[in-house]
Amino acid sequence: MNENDKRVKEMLEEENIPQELEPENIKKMLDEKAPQKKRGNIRRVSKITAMAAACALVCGTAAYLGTNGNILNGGSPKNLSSGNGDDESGSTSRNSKTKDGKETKPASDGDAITENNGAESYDEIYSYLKKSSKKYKKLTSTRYSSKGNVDISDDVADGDAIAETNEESNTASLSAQGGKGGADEHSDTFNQEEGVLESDIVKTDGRFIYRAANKYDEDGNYIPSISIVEAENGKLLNKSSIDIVIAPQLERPDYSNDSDDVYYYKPYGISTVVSGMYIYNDMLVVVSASNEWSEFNDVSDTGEYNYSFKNNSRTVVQLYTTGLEPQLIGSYSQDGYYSDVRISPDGYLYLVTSYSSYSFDNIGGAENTDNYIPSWNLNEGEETLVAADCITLPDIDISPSSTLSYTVVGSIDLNDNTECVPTDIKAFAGYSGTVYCSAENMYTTCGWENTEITRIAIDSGTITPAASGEVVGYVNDQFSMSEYDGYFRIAVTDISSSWTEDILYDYFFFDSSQTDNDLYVLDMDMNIVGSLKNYGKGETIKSVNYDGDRAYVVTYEQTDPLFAIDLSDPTDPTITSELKALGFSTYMQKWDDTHLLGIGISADENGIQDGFKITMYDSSDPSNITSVGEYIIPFANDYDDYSSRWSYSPATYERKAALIAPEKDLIGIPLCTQSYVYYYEKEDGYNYTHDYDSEITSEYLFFKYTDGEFELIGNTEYHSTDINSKYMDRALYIGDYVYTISDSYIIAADAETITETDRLDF
Amino acid sequence: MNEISDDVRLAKNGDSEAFSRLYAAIYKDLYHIARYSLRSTEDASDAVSDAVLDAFCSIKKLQDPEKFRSWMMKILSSKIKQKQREYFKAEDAQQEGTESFDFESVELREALGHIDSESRLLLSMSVLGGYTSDDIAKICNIKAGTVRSRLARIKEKLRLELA
Repeated sequence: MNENDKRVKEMLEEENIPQELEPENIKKMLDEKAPQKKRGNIRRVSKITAMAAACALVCGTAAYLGTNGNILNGGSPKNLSSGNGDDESGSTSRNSKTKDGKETKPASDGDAITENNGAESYDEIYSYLKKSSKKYKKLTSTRYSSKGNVDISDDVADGDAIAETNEESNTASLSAQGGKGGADEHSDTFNQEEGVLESDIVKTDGRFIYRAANKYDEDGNYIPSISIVEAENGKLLNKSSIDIVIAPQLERPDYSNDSDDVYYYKPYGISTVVSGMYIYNDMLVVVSASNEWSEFNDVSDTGEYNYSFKNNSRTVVQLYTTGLEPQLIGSYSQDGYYSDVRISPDGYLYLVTSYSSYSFDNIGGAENTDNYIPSWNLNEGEETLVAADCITLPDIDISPSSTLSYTVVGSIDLNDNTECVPTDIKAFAGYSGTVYCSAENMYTTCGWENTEITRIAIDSGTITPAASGEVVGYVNDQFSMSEYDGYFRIAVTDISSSWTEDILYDYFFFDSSQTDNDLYVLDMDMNIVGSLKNYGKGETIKSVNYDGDRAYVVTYEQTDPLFAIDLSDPTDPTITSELKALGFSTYMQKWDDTHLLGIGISADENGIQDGFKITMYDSSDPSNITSVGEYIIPFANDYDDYSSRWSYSPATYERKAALIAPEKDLIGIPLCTQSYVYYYEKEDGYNYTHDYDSEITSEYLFFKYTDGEFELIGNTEYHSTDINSKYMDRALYIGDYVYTISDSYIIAADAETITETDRLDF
Repeated sequence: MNEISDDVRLAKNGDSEAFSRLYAAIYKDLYHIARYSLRSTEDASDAVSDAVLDAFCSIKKLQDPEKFRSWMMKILSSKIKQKQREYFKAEDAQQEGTESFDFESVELREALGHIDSESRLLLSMSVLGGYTSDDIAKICNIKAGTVRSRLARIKEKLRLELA
């Protein structure tokens, strides 16, 4: 390659690779999305209600004791007295009313359990995996074409009256969630379900602002850290930061004697990223995902290579004190790739991870439980395996695979802020993809052509996989799901007719003109009780919003129909209104009782995407949803003699990047513009010094909505010439000031006028 | 050490770990090509993951394991073009800038910014991916002669010599 080609190559290779494209994460994506033989659902639980199970599940083998005598892995959590049906924290949901206002009782009043669904022993799990691996080897392919055979598992035992009523509404959290006394009211991450807290990379308690950043060092490795700023009345007073260090667990292989060309693979690596944080009970809670891998080659006597790839992923929750000098209080770690996390209204953190065993050939015997059973630890101490009877295996025909994949759910009691108190851990078959959580149940989903849904009852830290079911189609994000009034609603896009062979390019691809969209209503046993099929043919779901008895679904291919759906009769969801518009919303949130806000992409009649759009819908009449205000921020697409520009908004991909604060009549949208600005010094003839500068402009645009239209109030702005400079992607307010934040700087401004009051580099 | 053909065979049987090893050897180039040809990090990331998912699901169609890289690039270039179609109307793409832009008086980086989307794909495949004009022709379904002359024009304007 000549010198000039090298310079071009250098320039084009400057940007760091996004984390989701790293090989270990790609493997995870393929495991979740590539169609597989039906995995089989968890064994259906009989005679167990979500609430009663919490009181009664007992470990067959010895209970594992955490500190303070907490019993983990299936025993009763400490704040739950077993067998006491009247235990308030145990058995009933907070406002158990059915639609007609009657009180309901759970079917079982906390009797000692019933059946245990877990495995008998690790040996049982090992032989399950052995059979599965045998079957897998006999197969010649995992042929990609299931034509949507919906085999919904409905072997519910008779008499299962699961009383799951739920008064959760989707009202936007209009009241500010402030810190304790003295702190100004401030914004917080919007929670899909009230009281069920979602994590984020930025949090505030009204006085300190915490920002998680996954930065790169010179070798391109992630170094996660938390930057902390003290803010007061629009001034940024003090700053500090802490590094997040997760210790490696694998041994780094020794290649010093290896003369082979190892360029093809990385023999060892560890990468840790902060997935999210919370401020809770005066603690800073940091959730980090750590992926570690190592390869080893074993040369046998015959000179054959035995190659193995070890992958150790775990997710660590660390508890710190708040303020500028956080001190580590304790930590909890659980095997598996990070999937999601929530804090329930009663103060328990529930962590979901996806764990994969080594492939059967690399396990080497039932006694090597480390290789196929997930484990957890407290304060980076000894690893404890999840007990066999806390692991639920699939019940129906063993589906062939050379590895076992589990969803692992663990809980921590955050009501104690002096130490880390894990309370329960369970594992069940299948990966965890998108997770939705209500106050009483967590739902994990898995799959792409078909989505398997598992309902996990959560109560005071106790975790009980309760039921599972399946629908045809994939789920766009957590907002496509909702639990309300004893029913689970899920909106999906069905791609089963969409795989097409591309003769020209010689591969299968997904032909989006053949998709269809459906909405299903399931009961708490995960049986389908009602459905709405085939709306938005040839389009895919872009956003969904549930509001009690109503759902709003946006589908899109070239135009954006917004469907309003009436769910008051669970057996018969119906479309009440359809509004067509150009472009599409990628996220919708309730603005007030008669308005729905949509944010997303604007496009012209031909589907050419040309900007970011915010739309206000009038939702007062379900039979006639109308648009009552729109603002388009065009994507700069400019070329003149001295510059070229492209822009986009991070809020298109990440709803948490938008600040939506109806209580302050404030909407903040980030916009990132990259322009190439040039200068050039010619030395002589054809030799130039190339001092290239790309310019990144990062802005947050703030709007208010009054009298039927959006008004742009002002914006904060930051310029950088570093192509890897991160743009601002979060905004929050504290009192009368807004703060817009990237992972390396923060800007404060007056919330009324968006006039900058201060800025600071981390 | 696993050979490419071993991993391809495993991947054909649905082994995602083997596929991710194949991917690991080429993923940085894939990303940078997508990034230069598209508007944002997110679009480039989408294009690569979509291409990877399709490739994994269709890997049985790959006859010659040694061709994995160019086969993967074929799928990715299709994704990139699909995405580019959403940005620009077909007739605008030509006018986007390469032909009329004055390459003489500006710096390399500015010049790179002014190149139209299809040319970006060709240029980045050549410089980043190291594909020959013949490779690129097969991957993008353009005549080899066309690829050669376009690359020659672009590189000349950028004052680059053909490798």
